[in-house]
Amino acid sequence: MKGTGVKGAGLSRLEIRSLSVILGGRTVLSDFDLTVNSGEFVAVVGPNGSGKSTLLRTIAGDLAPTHGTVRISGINPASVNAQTAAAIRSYLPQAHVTDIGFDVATVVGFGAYASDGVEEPRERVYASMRRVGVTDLADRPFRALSGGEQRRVTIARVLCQDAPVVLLDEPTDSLDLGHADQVMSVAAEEASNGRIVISTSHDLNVAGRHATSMVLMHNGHVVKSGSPSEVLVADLLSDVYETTVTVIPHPTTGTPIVVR
Amino acid sequence: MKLRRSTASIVLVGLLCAIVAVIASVSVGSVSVSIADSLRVLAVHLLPIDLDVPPLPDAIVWNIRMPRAIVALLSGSVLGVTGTVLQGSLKNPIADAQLVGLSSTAAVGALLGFWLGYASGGPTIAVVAGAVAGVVGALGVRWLAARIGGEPSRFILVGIGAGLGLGALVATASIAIHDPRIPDVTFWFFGGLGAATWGVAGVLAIATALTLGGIMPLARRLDVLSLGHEPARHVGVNVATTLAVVLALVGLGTGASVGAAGVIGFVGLVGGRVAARMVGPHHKLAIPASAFIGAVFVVGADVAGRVGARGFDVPVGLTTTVVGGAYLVWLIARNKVPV
Repeated sequence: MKGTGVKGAGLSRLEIRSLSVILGGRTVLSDFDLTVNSGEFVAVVGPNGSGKSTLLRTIAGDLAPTHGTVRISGINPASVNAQTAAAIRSYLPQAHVTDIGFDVATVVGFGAYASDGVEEPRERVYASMRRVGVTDLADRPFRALSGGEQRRVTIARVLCQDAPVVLLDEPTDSLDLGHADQVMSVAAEEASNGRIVISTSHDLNVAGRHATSMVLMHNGHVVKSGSPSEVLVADLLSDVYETTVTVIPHPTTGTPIVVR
Repeated sequence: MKLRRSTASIVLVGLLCAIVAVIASVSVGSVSVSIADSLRVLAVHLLPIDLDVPPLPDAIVWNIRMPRAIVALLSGSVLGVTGTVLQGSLKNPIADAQLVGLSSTAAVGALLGFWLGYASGGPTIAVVAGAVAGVVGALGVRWLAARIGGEPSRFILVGIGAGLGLGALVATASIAIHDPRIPDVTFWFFGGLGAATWGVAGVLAIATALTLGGIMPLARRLDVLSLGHEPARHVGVNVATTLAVVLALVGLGTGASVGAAGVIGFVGLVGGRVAARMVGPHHKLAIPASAFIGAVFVVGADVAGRVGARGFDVPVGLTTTVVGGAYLVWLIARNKVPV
């Protein structure tokens, strides 16, 4: 099945061992361990400055660990060339580039750069755009879109890369309620298709609704990891976020909802 | 103005414009030669036909004006392309070889070439020396910028600094040395086509072919670079290598043009911006378009200078700088480029 098959499906495994990252003298990540297998969608949550983006940058291979190791199916993403890295992981960074003169379909197609010439990208481009609902923007110049539209198009570009590990840093940033939920449910679909998805989020509720597991971080440490109902616990969150929160079950689904 | 967007149609329209510009260029000057005579001279030399051509127009058109027009054409095309390529790869809408200091680093080499190489090969040595200095300068500025911190804006700032410093150095040297073999200070600021020979045109043609031939296959990568350097790397572009290759090629072409025709300003800015407006952001279209726009701009500026001031050799870069400067102000005033 073209477009839905996952490269190395069932084989991919992310292993992070004793990872520490020191940036400008500050320990941003400290002795971090995590193992993620195909099919899992891990939501990484925690307050500002807890090390979530640094974790994703390190998994993506943009940062080399100060100590410890990151391996994606045995490969160190920081030591391979850009093309190999692109074949094993796609990455939505937090920073936005807004001034791109190309139309939306072309920008999404840039996601397929690493496999250019291997497959017919047009089908993949339109499949990716459909999943985040930006097909009707296909011919519009990227720079003329709103912030939220640009974010969704960039997510389509990440999907179009078709990598077994998908890293999303604040994918719901600047998205409205409906689109935030849509993007997270696409992330969950990616995982159920056999990929590894790791996403940071400030929206605990949308993350808890879609993720298979959650990691709560604080000051570069893991405070708690487990299923959403194990992590979304009032005392824990109140402590880490330094604000009193209440957790109630969703009236219809029963998933935990965090309210202040 | 919308062109049908294919590389072939751009090349066709561009060639027609370039041919018209060259015919205009060989037909104007202090000695009047009719367009009919110019065409006859060109036909005799370029086509397998035999025509009766008087010797004076033949010497003026073929030996003096034609090399001048070809040097202008090649310099313009290579400089125009540097605009498209640098504006895209450095994510800066007004970048060109002069802004990022490559013209000045090339000028150092060209000056040395003129000084050392006159006896052994005349002005063609300056073209080669300029090309070498252009490559060395481009990689040197990139190395310096990378040591300071790798963002594109750093490269531009380091380039501006290096360019102003080296430009002043070359100007001072050309005044201090005061040697008839070395072009005077005007050449290093506003260019000059007065010394163009067939030899210079030939070496410049090789450098131009190498530059354009090297850059065209990078069109797709340059497209992806518009995502920004980090995202481009995330989708699989080896950004560091691509930039080094692109800058070396831009340095090569710019350097050869500086050795052949001095520093002709604003051609990259105009070529890159006008091409983007006419054919859009795809490099496989914008690269050939900017080559032809730059070529026609420089040949046209030279023709305008000679028509406007008969008997006085207006440096071609003076005209391009006045027009290009006005265009830049217009772009900024009309919010066509972010500031």
